[in-house]
Parts: sequence; C-alpha cells; structure tokens
Amino acid sequence: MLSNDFDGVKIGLEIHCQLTALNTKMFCNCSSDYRGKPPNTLLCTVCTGLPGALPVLNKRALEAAIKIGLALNCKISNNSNFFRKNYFYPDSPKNYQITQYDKAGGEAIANNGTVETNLGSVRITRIQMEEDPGKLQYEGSITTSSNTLIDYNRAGISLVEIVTEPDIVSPKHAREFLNTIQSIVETIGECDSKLDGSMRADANVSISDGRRVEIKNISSFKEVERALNFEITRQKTIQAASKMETRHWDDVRRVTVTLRVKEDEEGYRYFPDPDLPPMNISENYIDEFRQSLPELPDKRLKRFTKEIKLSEEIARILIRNKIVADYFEETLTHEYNPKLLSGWIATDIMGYLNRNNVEFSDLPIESKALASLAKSVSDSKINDSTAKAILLKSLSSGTTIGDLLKSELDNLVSFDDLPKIIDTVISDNPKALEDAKNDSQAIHFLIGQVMKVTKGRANHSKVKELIETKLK
Amino acid sequence: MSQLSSQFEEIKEKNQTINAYITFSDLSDNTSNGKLSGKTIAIKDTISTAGLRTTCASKMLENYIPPFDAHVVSLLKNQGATILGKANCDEFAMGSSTEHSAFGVTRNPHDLERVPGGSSGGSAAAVAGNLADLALGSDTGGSIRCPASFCGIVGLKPTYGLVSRYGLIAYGNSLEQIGPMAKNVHDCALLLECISDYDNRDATCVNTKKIKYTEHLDDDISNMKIAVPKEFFGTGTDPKVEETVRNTIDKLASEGAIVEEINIESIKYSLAAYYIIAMSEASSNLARFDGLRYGLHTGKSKDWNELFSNNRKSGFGFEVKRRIMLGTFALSSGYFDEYYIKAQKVRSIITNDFKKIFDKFDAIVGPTMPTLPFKLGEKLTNPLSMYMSDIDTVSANLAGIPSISVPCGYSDNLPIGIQIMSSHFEEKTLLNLGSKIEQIRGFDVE
Amino acid sequence: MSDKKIIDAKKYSELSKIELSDQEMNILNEQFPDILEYFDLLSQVDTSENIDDERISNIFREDTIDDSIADSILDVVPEKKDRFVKGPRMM
Ligand SMILES: [Zn+2]
Repeated sequence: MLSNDFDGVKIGLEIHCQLTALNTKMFCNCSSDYRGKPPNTLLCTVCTGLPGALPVLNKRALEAAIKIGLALNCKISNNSNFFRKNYFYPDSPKNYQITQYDKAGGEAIANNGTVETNLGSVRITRIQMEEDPGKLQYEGSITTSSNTLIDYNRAGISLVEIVTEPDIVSPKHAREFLNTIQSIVETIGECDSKLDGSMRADANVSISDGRRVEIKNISSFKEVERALNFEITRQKTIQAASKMETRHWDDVRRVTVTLRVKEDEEGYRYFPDPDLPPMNISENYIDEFRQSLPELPDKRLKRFTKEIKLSEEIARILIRNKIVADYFEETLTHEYNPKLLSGWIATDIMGYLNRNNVEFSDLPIESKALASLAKSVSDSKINDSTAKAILLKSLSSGTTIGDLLKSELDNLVSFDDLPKIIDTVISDNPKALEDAKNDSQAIHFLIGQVMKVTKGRANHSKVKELIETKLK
Repeated sequence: MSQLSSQFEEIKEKNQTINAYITFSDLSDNTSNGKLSGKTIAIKDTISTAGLRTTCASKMLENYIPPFDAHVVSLLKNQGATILGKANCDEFAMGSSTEHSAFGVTRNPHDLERVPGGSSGGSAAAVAGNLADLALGSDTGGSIRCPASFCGIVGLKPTYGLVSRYGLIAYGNSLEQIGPMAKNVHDCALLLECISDYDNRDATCVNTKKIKYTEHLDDDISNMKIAVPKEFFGTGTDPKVEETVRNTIDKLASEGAIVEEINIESIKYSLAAYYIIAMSEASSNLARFDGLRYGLHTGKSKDWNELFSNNRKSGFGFEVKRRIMLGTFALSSGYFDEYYIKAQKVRSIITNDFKKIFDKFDAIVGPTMPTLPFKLGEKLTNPLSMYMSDIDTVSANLAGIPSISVPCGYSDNLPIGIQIMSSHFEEKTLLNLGSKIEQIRGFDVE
Repeated sequence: MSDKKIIDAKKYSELSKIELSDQEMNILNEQFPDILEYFDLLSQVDTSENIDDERISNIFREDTIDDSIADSILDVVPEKKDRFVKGPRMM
C-alpha cells in the first residue's frame, strides 16, 4: 500500500494491559498467576460472584495504574471511582464488569496524556482500571460448538485500559505506538508483555467522512497492523463504511467480520458501584510515585543520543525494548565502546534474532562476552570484520564468543613474530617501500604481501602500524 | 441439649401455622461460650450460612447451599448462639409483607389472617411467636422495622457501615444493613454488640470504636432533644397509630425530654427516591443469577441467551421481575438522568436535611408504619399501595442513619411501633430512648 | 404531569434477560405508568445546588494471596465438565 493510501485515516486504540506484577486479582485475594493452571482452581466467593460476596480493591492495582498514568504523561485524578458496566455474557461472573467511566460523575484514574512516537504524538484520552472476565472455550469453533466451557481463573485479573484519541494516522503508526506503550509499561515493571494475552487491543478506524468502525479481539500487537490494513482496504473498497459497526478480527482467516453478540453501548447502564468507596488521591501521594518512576524510554532516547552520542535511528531501536536497552548499557559498563556495541546489538544481533524468531531475552550471549569482543577490537587484537564474523558465528553455532575469540587469537601470527616477517617482505620488495614513502596508498601493497605470507592470519591494523614505522 | 431438642420440636410444630422458617438447621451443638450462649436465633434467609441452605425465599436459590458464612453468622457462632434456622422473607427482601416468598406467606402471630410485615417477616414472627429468642433481619427500606412494628417486637437498622454486609445477599446495596430483632431493647442491644464488628471484606464497613450498648440503656434522657417531623404523620396515617405514637412522645416529654415539632420538606420525596435507587441497584445486583455457577438451572436451551432468560423467568417471582424491570428502565440511557441521577440528588438533599436536624436534636421520632398490620392479600394486587407502607422508614436508609422500632401500644389487639432515628453511629441514643419507652408505655411484651 | 409515560416491558425484559409471559407483560404495562407517575414526583425538587456527600474513601486491601476455595465453589455449580463450568452454546 502506498503511503498516500492512508490519507484521511484516523485510528484510535483501546489497549487492555494486565497488571502482571500483582500477586492477587483486582478485588479478591486469589492468586493472579493463572497461566497454565488447571481450569477453575483460582477461585473465591468474590471472583465467581457468589451471592453476598463483596469486592475490595487491591492497593497495588491502584499504585500500578497511577504509575502507568504518570508514565503516559496523564493527569492523575484526585477523585476517582468505580462504575458497573451491565451486560450479560457467560464469561462475566456477576453479569456486570467493575470498571471506570467518564460520565455521570465518574472519573477514571488518569486522563489527558500524550505519548511521543517517531511517527507523531498520540493523545491519551484516559486510563481506566477494570477487571478481566473469565475465559470461554469451545469444542470446535464459537459458531458450531454445542457447549461452552468456562474457566474463571482469569476472572477478576487487574487490567488497565488505555484509551487514545484518534490521532494515529496509519497501521504502521499504530504498531509504532503500541511498541512504545509496551516499552513504557515494561520499563515501569507493571506488565510483562511477553505473557500470552497480557496486552490486547481494540481499534476504531474511520476514513475521511466514513463512519467509525470498531475492530475487537486483536490478540497481539503484530495482528493490529494486519487487522488495520485489512479494514482500511475494506473500507476503501466499499467507498466508506455505511454504518457504525463493531467488527471482530479473525486472526486465523485474517479478515474482520461483523460482530453482534453483546449489548449495544447504550444498553450498558453504567452506574457507580455502591460496594466500592471512591478513591481520594492527594497530590503528595501522586508525587511520591512521580519521583520513584524509573527512567522512561523517551528520556533514555535523549540520553542515548545526547550523552552517549548514538544515532537517533540506532537509539530508537534500542529503547523500543527495555531488555535490549538494559543489555546495551550493561555491555558499556564492561567496555565503553558505544558505537561498536550499539551497532552490533541493533543490527547484527537483533537482525539475527528477528530472522530466527528468537526473543531478545533468550539471547545466549552474555553482555560481558560481547564487551570482551569489543575490547579485542579496541585493543587492535582483531579487526571489525573479524569481530563481526565471530559474533555471527557465535549466534549461529552456539559456541561462546570467548572460545571463538581464543581460537582466532591462537591462530594469529604472534605480534612478536610480525617484525621479522615484515622485514623479509620489505627486503623482497625494496621498490614498494620507496613507493609507499611517496604515496600513502601504496602501503596497501606491502600489507597485502604480509597477509599473503601469513595466509591472512596476521592482525591487519598491527601490520599497518608496524610498516608505517618503517616509512618514517 | 435434650431440653433444647424438645423445644426445637415444639418450634417446628408451631411453624406449621406461622411459617416463620424456610429451613431448619440440624441444631448443631454450639460449644463456644459467649454473650449469646443459651440463646436461640433465627437468621433471615438473605444471609449466607455455610452448609445451611440459603434461598432468599426464591425458587432461584431453592437448592443453594453457600460454601461460606456471612461475617455476622461467624460472629454469632463465636458468641455461642444456637442457630435454629433460616427465616422466611419477601423474595430477595423485596416487599413489606412477606407475602412475596416462594415458600409461602408468614402469618402474624398476633392475628393469623394478617401479614407480619416485611421483608424480614419470618424473623419478626419467629421472635414474636416464641419460635426463637432473637433474630437477624436485613433492612433496605424498612425491612427490619416494619415487621418489628407489625409483630410487636424491637428491631434496629444500624448505621450504614456499622455491620458487615459480607454474606448478605444484596438487594439495594447502598441502602441496606443487617440488624438485630428481639423481644426487648436489652436483647436487641446485646445482639447489636455482637454483630457490630469491623470486617475488611466489606469496603463500606466503617472501623469505629466498639460500644457496649447494653451499658447505656438506663442513661438519663432528661434534656434530650427530640424532633417530631410533621411529615411522618401524613394523610395515609391511621389515626389510631398517630394517637398511640403521640401519647408515647408526650410521656417522653414528661420524663424530661425536650420535644419540638418540625418540618423536613424533603421527606415527602424519600419514597420515590428510595424505590428508584433500590430498584436500579437490584437490577444489577440480581444480574448474577443466571443459573451457570449456582442456582436454578432449567436445562437444555438453544443458546446462552435463551438459557439465561429461561433460568431467570423460572427462578424469579413476579415482584422481583417487576423491580428488575423498573430498575433496568431507570438506569437505561435516555432515562438515567431523569430517574437514577435525580433520585441520587434528592437523596443528597434528604441526607443533608437530616444532618442539619441532628446538629440541633438528639433524635427524631414518629410512627414506624402508617397503619396497623393489614390483611393477607390486601395490597398484593396493587404494588404502589404496598410500596406506600414504607413511607416513614425509607428516609433512614437514604440518609444512612440508624433507626429503631419499639412497641408502644396496641389498637384492636394489634401492635403499634414507634420509630426513633438518630445521627450516624448514635445507636446508643436509640437504645437508651427505646429502653425508656419500655418503662413508660405501661405493658410488657411476653 | 398528567401525561402518563409508557414503558415497554418487552424492551426491559430483553435487557434484563427475563422472559415474561403475555399475562405478566400486560400487568406490568398496565402498572408501570402509575408507578412512574409517582416517581415523577421528584421533578418538583430543585436539585440545581450541588451537595457533597460525605462518604468514606480509600478502602484497600493488601496484595497477599489467600488459599483458594475453588473446590467448594465448584461444589455448587449445577453443570460441570471436568473442572469447567458447562455453559450452553454461544450462537
Ligand atoms: Zn477470587
């Protein structure tokens, strides 16, 4: 698709982000570690909505939401509260969801933020706290299964929903924005986005005068770009969406389909939850969190470009993933060679990992080993291209950098033997020495002869350095 | 134990006519020693009891056995009380006569052809008919005080937040409290002492200083300032009720209380505000009853939508359906501002008006019920006339203040209750005045 | 205030997932206007002034795990398959 195909496109996102660092669910003391657990093993009276059970807010859920709000440059509400969103659905234990609302006296925990991306800034409308529903399973597909099997282990898990203004201008921008959000919540340590289903998105798209279409059920961020591309093409083909509608992203068939199973928005009958007292949050309390926030990606980007002097392009690649940026900074503590190390990490290592679908966290090379490789270059023991070859060989073979470097160095003609070999080459080529004295380019002939004699096992820069002394 | 067992058989026998209980316990021996040792108690069937069927007087929960005790039930057990069983009530506490029960009506022990009041009618009838020493009720708009008045016993609705609601099956959760019911003020105070205990499982429960209510029953009431709002003696008030209540107020004055007639304009809007809020909350609170996780399950359906509709159609009685419909309406877009939001604003005004009164007065006094206990079936076909019975009680629930009903006289051999309200967490004043009324009213409750 | 409002019971029976019989529907449609007329009494009240409710606030719990009581919760489930709660088909 050409870039001008996205003229007039407006995309807004709603990102559901589980607060995975919490031990317990949002309103009860059940463990929130539900992944991989047998069905319906993490339940209590509250998260299954037994008659007479009452919710009490997990203090950590509030703290995490405040931190995320601050990190997305939001105003934290001094007077926030919970509402009930009423709708019947078998994954909802109470047939209402405890959430937040922005009308009728409702106030979400955080409002009016902004997030900068390299494709433009995106305004955050609000961030609201809410509970996850249970999980439905079908024997076969949703349309054909004669039964629904319900597991409430996920019911009541803490979520924040991040709602944006329709400031996103292309599917690529959406992807970029989501990566930024991901990097921010990872940096704060409140959401581990690698966990399956920990971050999900709904999107709304409109083109020029077309009406808004919502796409629900986008299970991963990679799918967001794909779903948006599909939907924009679909809307362009039918000129403009003829009606407001909600569509469901089918990630197997990779199409959006009309969805009409839950209530209409106006049927949700939002009202304040009488079981949950409001949250009065003082500026002092908010300040404590503001001061304890770790360095966020945009600040880190500035430091990488201004202080460490990386190119903006390389720096952006590094800060996009907190683990990558942390790894880079760790290598610097062992060997301060930012240019070389950042280049290796951003292009060679990440390129290799992407091609082979390996997560950065599974990288088998320790930061110290990578730093030692850079040190060998700084010390002129090996040259750039040899070092890169060692790095790539380590990645593909699994042999450690230490072992590869050792055998490379063992294989090299020792620095002690080099002067003798150079003397022999010069005495065999007296004219070349004279040429080199007059023409700086001619030195390469002599270097080439040394490499030939040593079958390439001599350190290139050391050879050059030694010949240059002969020229004086 | 054997004495208790034979007493238990007598109670079961009496229950055949009164129908105060839905379910009897297995009378398990309570070995805990406490303030309630040797006392028998009936628990309203809206309050969860572990291992003992809890139906809310609804077909929906006909076979539901909770896996946990309400906080108040744990407290009763710790204090050595003997739980006799689960008391009948209006289905999900929605009613003022205990005629809306899936398990049949409860009859008033004073006149078997009349209602015991509601919704905690089984609890009140059990105490009044000697089928239990004490009872727990729940009061959303008068559901403890109304049957206490109709059955001639004492019933107290605590300040919102004094007693944990954990385990109370919600009807109108911003309004309701569990409260004590007893033959006399002393026992009522004793039971309140036992159940007013901070519980961090109810976020609306307030951690207040514990008060020994039984030690304040004989405090001096002279110079106590009592307000009597004209609005509590409105057009629907039976003159016999008014006369008896006013006589009692006069006696309090002659004991040294300073009585003043006042106006609280906003009271006349309290009933409408109450019903809109209670029904709205109920429509959401009762959504969880879909038959999947517990409760009535009607079996095969073509999809989940039909199953939910079937389960709820078969499980709920007509009054519950009516209130869910009206509550759903009041919360729906287009009507939300006009009904729900408006009612909440009126509630704030009422709360504020009461607060202003309590800046000057210690208590507000009036009748609990505008009428004498009415005949079974008399108001069953006209819901609005049934709702009107709560006209004097609902304002305490809206304002969250405590209120008590104490027997103060009889007319046509039917009991009349006087209602006293006080400021938040001033239950002590209610019990103190109630105790004084017992001394001056000129009769004992047997 | 003389115009009585009509509520369509059918609409709210669908929203609240309670099927009503024709007879129930008729009774409710007949009673609702009177009840609403009574509720409309509130329109007489001037609520333009904002009154701050004094409510308790900031009631939280600590993030500590309690033992699961999942088995006793599953005991009361009417239809199960293995440990799943069994529901009807979705579509
Ligand atoms: Zn739980």
